[in-house]
Amino acid sequence: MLAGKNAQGDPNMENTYNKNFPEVHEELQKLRKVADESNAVLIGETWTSTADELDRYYGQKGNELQMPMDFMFTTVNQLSPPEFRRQIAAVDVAHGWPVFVISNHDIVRSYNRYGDGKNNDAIAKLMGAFYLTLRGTPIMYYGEEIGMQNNDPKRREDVKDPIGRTGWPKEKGRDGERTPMQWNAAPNAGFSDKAPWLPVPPSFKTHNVESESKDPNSVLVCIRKFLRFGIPMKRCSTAVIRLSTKTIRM
Amino acid sequence: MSYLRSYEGKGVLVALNMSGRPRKAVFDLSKQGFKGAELKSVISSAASAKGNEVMLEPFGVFIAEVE
Repeated sequence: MLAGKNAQGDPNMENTYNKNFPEVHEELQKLRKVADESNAVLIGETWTSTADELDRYYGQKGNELQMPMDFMFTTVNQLSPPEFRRQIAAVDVAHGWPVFVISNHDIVRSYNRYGDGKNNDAIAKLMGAFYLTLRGTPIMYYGEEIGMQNNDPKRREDVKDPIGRTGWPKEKGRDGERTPMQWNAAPNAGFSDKAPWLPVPPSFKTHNVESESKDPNSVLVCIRKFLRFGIPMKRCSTAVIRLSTKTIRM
Repeated sequence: MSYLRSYEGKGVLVALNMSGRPRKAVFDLSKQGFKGAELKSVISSAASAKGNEVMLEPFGVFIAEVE
């Protein structure tokens, strides 16, 4: 036990006996053997606190996950070049292939985390350009490519996520980042003609695939350009492994 | 923030303005093995370049091939 309580009112735990078991790595090595036999790749949702911890998921002999996600990258919650440089450098020394993530189903969307309220679309493009051009593989959470934002519940009775129900109002849960994909400006953003499990945010009328596909300045069109440019670089398997990333101060 | 990716004599420069103010950056990539290199814009958003000088509007993006 640690001092204090979490958002759900439970005592803070030290997590000494329920995380990071050495046995996990033995099991990952077994999984890797199966994956190699099937020419498959193992991607890990690996929440780690340090680069050393992340490095261990590649395996001491590169015999565990080929692609453990770098969630430390998501802890940089401001547009801070020194912080990003530090994170990139830390992962660069790991002996595996970097896997960059800026959002997922458990954290507030990047559009909200990095946005300043005035330039959110420009910042969404910037963040896309950033992690799609780094040495490594970017893993994009659905909706990032159109600038989807969180739609957090406003009332406790609307919360679906158990974490939000027990933690309300301090902890609203993860419903906000799990709303349906926004395809068009039709009701429910074209996702369904029935009421979806979670409601789409009001911004679906402007931030959806159909509308943005027609707008040359949209987040989607911009992200597509970055992808077209970035993917060929990453597909050159031998070449890309040798590509260097040098940070230059501006 | 900016970084250079390179392989076999070819390079790609990525320059990002992570601030809400316009920024100017002058790149001398000779130490990175690109002496006298020119920046050939590939993708830009709220950015422009002249020679080795890049102007970035707030939150602008500039990606160029280095030759």
